[in-house]
Amino acid sequence: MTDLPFFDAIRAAIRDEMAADPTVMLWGENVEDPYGGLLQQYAGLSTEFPGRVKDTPLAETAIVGAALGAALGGLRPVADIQIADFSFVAMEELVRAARWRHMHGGAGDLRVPMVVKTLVGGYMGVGANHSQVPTGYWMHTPGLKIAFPSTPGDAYGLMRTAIRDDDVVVFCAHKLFMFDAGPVDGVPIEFGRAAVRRPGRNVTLVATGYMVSLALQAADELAATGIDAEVIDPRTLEPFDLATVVESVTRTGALVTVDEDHTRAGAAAEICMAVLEAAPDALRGPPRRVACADVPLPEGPAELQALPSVERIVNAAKAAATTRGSTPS
Amino acid sequence: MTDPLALYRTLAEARALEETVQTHAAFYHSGYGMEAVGVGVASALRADDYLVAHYRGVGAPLAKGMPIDTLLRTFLLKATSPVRGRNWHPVAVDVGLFGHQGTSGSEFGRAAGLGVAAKHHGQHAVAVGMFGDGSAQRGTLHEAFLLACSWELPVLWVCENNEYMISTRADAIFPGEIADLAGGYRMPAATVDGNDVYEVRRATDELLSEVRRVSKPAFLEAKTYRVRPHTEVEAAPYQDDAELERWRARDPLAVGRARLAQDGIDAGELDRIEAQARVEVADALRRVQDDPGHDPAEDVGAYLYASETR
Repeated sequence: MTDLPFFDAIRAAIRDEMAADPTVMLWGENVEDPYGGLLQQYAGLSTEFPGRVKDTPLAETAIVGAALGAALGGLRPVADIQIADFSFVAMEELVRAARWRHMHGGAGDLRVPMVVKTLVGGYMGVGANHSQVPTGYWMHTPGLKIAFPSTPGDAYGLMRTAIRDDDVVVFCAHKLFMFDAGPVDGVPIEFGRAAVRRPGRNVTLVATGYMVSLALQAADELAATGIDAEVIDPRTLEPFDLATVVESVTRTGALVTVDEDHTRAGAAAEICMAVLEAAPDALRGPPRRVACADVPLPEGPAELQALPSVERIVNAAKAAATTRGSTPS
Repeated sequence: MTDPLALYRTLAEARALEETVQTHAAFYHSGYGMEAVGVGVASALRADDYLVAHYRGVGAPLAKGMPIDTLLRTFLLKATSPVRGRNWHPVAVDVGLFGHQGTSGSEFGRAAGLGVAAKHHGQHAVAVGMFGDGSAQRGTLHEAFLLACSWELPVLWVCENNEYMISTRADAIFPGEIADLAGGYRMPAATVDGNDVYEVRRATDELLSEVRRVSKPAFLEAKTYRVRPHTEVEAAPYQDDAELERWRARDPLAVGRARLAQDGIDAGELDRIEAQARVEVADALRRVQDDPGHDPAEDVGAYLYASETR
């Protein structure tokens, strides 16, 4: 167990998989040394694995489209899309990769083992074209898996699993975690297993990525007012660990979903609905969403008007936890 | 160079398949009259070469090694096809044919990626990316061509220029020859009569030997013509009769016959080959036509994730 910064944990996971499996490759814009990728995320990898870590043209459709071809040809590519906003350029290729196995009926045991790694997130004031967390688009695409870690240990473990997985995985890393260090135990983490970040009795907060940090801060504030919040981090949005969330909600009777993506038709809405369908009698009152406003993010400090905040989570959790209704049995 | 009669046999089989499939498969994008391109290119490939075939026609998958029965099962949406009757794009993973999908232009990135795999495996295998004059209008071509050049990928790009992107003529879009594109990427390029299977094969062999030797991309434009409508369920009022007649006179089988006659091959021998091809396809149709179609009891979500099948 060693402490690593978040981005170093991701790099270590890619490095360990590349050392273990010669078919793993990494490519994207500016990933080779001495630059080593945006924010030096991949520093040293092209030197350690010459020919397997490759700079691409500024060409997102080719970056992702070639990953599909390479995966069909027996490689395990990690395709780096510098920031998630640019993934829209390659959305056609990503959707097609996600469909490939199903639309060909699994013919000849077709597998598409590829990872699209990308940076997401706001709170840096860099505006609508550099800040999005477009998990909703990806969740809406059948065939994708979506990993969204919130700790260095999970970043390492989920990236190991993503590379070993035989399906198309979108791996999100939040920019704000850049310098956050934490323990990394070097073990792959199975997809579809949520982590309970803080146990609680009165309200369930479900959050991914940087929203987990906000939810934990909100839980501390709520504790001061006598509300004991449970914070659940699904870690992967697909597959989604509904059982852990339902079990929690059955105890707390109140649910708030926290999502940095836009509110409408996003993960926050989907999780609420999935819980209502699975456990219609568990909640004392309506579930509540705290997510990004349905506007393009402004640049500069104005973005904070649109993004989730600790205060908004606290208010939603208070409203959810204090809703009167029959006490769940 | 392959046995000229063997190549003619594959061409005749492709023709017999085209005639059969366009009669039996709804929405078929017929490659009738364009068989020489797919047959000429794909017959030059090894089993471990990868092929991204154009969506139109059967010539390329047939010549790459996909059996006639399997092709028919695919186009007739039989549950016994490799794709279990879910899709009518030919897939034969064992001969490097991984399927297709309906967005023209997405083939470029995929072919480049298969080129990465071919290079990585280190056996001088290549990837061939076949596309139409319509796909050549997509920006995805530029991105994948740049990638193939900068990474020195063993990819042969083959443009099947059949003059029409549905109803729009290629020469109304391209200011010059499509093969001119190769110059900007410093790729060796050739242009051939796409209705002459022997010319297509010769040009493919020449370019491929260089692609294999130096592991760099090359470009082939095969000039042909779409004598059928875009799909079999629509008309093609934008093609005039004189133009169609001109190209029907240049039918790939007629061109092939003329070439073989010069080599002293007896026309009766070619008649026998064509008759045999028709019998083979008819027999195959009889074998597969009563196969079950897609099973409605099958879980529609099956095969979405590889992890669910293990």
